[in-house]
Formats: sequence, structure tokens, C-alpha cells
Amino acid sequence: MSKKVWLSLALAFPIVFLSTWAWYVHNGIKNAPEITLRAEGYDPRSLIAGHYLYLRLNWQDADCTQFDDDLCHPNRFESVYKYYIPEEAAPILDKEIRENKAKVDLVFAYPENKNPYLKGMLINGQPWKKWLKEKQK
Amino acid sequence: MSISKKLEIWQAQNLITAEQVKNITAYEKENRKPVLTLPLLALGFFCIALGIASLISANWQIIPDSIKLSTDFLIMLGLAAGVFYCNYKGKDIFFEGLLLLFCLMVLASIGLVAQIYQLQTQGLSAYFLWCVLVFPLVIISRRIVLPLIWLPIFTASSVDTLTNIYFFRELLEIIEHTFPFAISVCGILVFAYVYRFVSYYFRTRLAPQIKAMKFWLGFDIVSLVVLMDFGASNMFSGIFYDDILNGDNYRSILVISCLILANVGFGYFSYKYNYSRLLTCVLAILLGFSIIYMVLPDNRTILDLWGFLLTMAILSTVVAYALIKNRVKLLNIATACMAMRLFFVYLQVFGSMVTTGVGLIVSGVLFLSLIYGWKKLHLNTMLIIKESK
Repeated sequence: MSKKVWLSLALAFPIVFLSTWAWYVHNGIKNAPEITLRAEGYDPRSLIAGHYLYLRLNWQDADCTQFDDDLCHPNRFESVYKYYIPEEAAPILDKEIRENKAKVDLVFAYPENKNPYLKGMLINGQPWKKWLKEKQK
Repeated sequence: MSISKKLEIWQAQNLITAEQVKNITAYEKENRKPVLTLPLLALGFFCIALGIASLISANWQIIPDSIKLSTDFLIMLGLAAGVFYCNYKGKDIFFEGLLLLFCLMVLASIGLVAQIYQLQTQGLSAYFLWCVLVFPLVIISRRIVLPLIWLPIFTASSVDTLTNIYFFRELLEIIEHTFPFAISVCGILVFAYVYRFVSYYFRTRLAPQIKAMKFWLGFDIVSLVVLMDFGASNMFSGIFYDDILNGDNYRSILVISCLILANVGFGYFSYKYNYSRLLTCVLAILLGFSIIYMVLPDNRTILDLWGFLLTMAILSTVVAYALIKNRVKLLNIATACMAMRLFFVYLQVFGSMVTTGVGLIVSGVLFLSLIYGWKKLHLNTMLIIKESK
């Protein structure tokens, strides 16, 4: 194979891989049933690291009827999740979770034979963006 | 001295004619290497990339995810087209600059996908994925910059990824508890093997990549020697593994034997294929000194002296190599380092000014005697100064 072909393949490889990956994850999230689980601040001292919120799932308050067999499956989830939030929202959310003990729920896409995807975050039962908007009014 | 000044002198000495001076000056002007172009180009690309990143992040929250992703892929496609075009047109410097930018864009895209879909990354797995995705481009690269960036990221992320495997984790644990600095010595030995094999099989095809490997291997060795020399007494006081000869510790003996065998194997390979013995000697010294650290008493002065001896042993090997290979610059650097280390050991080991003073005078006399002996034995004839060639 000529050098040009090698170069084209080498340049195409990351683009094809990343687009396939993004498409695969997107479809996995879109087509899977949703599950909402209660979470709490993993460690108050490092609750916010950069733009990420570290949250631990609280299985004691979990509603296991959401699962097909009415049984919770903690082993299919990570114990700690990090959730990306914008910088300006970080201190408000930190205060609300740490001091005002706001209820945090994590929404997952739960495909049958794959790892669950973290899809969204609810604060006091509302999507966090909506909750933040109302809070800032 | 600049070439024009040299030409002037040579012309004045009637070594070359005015016509020749004119021809040489014209040739040099035409074939001048672009000294400033590459760094300025890199700076330009870097500023543009930083500017774009700032503009995007300023409006990050209001941009929908689909737009973010499609723009990201469009930029990647544009860069890929640019790389291809520069390669086609033979614009080497632009090719490398765009290739580097493309690779950085791949890393940014991994981050973007992970961020948009809230993917949970483990350790350095994102970097490992980047290393795998851009590996073919690192091979294609014709300059040292991309391999130089890729190599340490690959090493760190692959070790981090491998630690997820139980067997590898166990192996690291066994090596770590064998003798001080065992993991570092082992890592350098593995790296040296890879370097040797790659340089043997792909010497001409992967010249910039081999250069980058050589740089990082040298950097790792220097860092480890400095760490062993100045850090051992602080790091290991009171936690020496002096139970090597216990019946239970057969694993340590096995690890040490394997490392010695690997070192011998490396030496044999270098000897058989006529490579320099410097690396073999340095690896053997590192291994020998770090194994003996294990049986040294927990005494700061002894540990400091052992570190000093290690540095001097390494530097002496470099001096011997420089003498054999007529590498004058390397010889000067190594001897200067030896002198500095010799001076520092007095401050390190001896406390009072009197002992330090006496020690320094004795060292000075020793050096002068060495120079005297050197001159008497006409050892300078051994050195054929490269510059005079």
C-alpha cells in the first residue's frame, strides 16, 4: 500500500472510531429504559472537583420496583458517579446538597446487557437545570 | 563563529578564492534551515487552538450537544484534509503542525463525547484510548515532537490501564517489595529492551520515533539516578527489606534473578548487534546499586555515600564511553557533573567547615595529580578531537 493510503487510513481511524462510539452511546441511551436512583454527596470535602460533582448512590432509599425483576442490582452500577456541571452552577449545587440537604436523584439509561449510562440529575425531583433556573429567579 | 566570518578568514589566508566565497555564500543562503519557522508555527497553531477553545467555552452552555459534536467532527475532518493536502504538496512543516493539532483534537473529542454523555472514565483510560487512536499517526510522523508527547502519555496510561488486570497488579506488588526502586529499574529495563528492538528493526523507517525514545530513556535514567542519590535516605529509612534470604522470600530471589538475566540478555543483544555498551553498563549499575540498597543499614550517612557512589559510577561510565567514542562535549559535561557531585558530598556527609575544607583540598590535590599523570602518560593522544577533523 502506498504512503498516501496509509495516511488516509490513519487519519480516518480516529474519526470513524469516535463517531461510531458517540453514535453507539447515543443509541444506547436513547433506546434503553430509564431508572432513577437516590444519590448523595460522596465526600463533602471534595464534592466539587473542577466542574464535576461526585455522587454516591444510596441503595437504601432506592425504588427497586423500577427494575424488571423488582430487585435492585447495585453490582451493575459504579459506587461513585461524577456528573458534569457548568462552573457557575457548582457552588450553588454544592451548598444545596451539603448544607440544605437537597434530594439528589440520578437518572440512568438502563440497557439490558450493557453498563447503565448516567443520563441526568434531579434536584428535589426536578431536572437540575430547571431547578437552578427557579432558584435563581 | 558564523560562516561568513570563517569565509572571510579563509579568503584572507588564501585558502579559498573570492569566487568560491561567493558561491558558498549563495549556497548557504539558499539552503538555510528554517530555524524560527517551526517554533513560530507551533506557537501560532497553539494560539489559534487556545483561542477557539476559549470562544467555545465562553458560550459552552448555550450550544446544543448535537452542534457541539458535529462542529467537533467537522473540525477534525478539516484538519485531516489539511494534513492530507500538506503531505500531497510536500509542505513538511505544515504537515507536522496540522498532524499535531489533529491529534490534540482527537483528545479533545474523547473528552467532549465523555462529557456530553456523562461517561464515567476510569483513571487514565481516556488517555490510553487517545494513544491507541493516534498511534498510526505517531508512526507516520516525520518529526520528533508528536512521538515526544505521545510516549510518556502512552507509558503512564498503559501502566494505569494494565493495573486493572489482577495478574499485573500482583506482579507489580511482588516487584515493589523485592528491593528499593525495583519497579523503576524494571520499567527502565523494559523500556531499554523496546528501544533496542525498535532501533534494530526500524532504524531508518522510524528515526524520529527512536530519537524520542532515546530522549525519554535518558531522561528516565537521569531522573532515577537523582532520585536514588538524593531521595533514598529520606524514602527508605526504617523500611528496608533485609529479609531477602528468608525461606519465605523465594519470590524476591526469583525477581532479582530474572532481572539479572534480563540485564545479561540485553548486554548480549547489544554486543551481538554491535550497539554501544553504555546503556548495558548503566542498567547493570542501576540494578546492582538498587539491590544492595536492600541490605544497607538504616544510617543516613551510609545511604548518602551509597547514592554518591552510584552517581559517580554512572558518570565514570559516561566518561569512559565519551573517551572511547571521542565525544568531547559529553566528556566535559560528565566530568563537570562529577566535580560538582564531589563537592556536594562534603556538604552532605561532613558537617563542620574544617572537615569540608580538608576534604575539598584533598580532592583538589587528587584532581591535580590526575591531570599531571594524564599529561605524563600522554593520554591526550587517545583523544582525537572531533573539531580538528
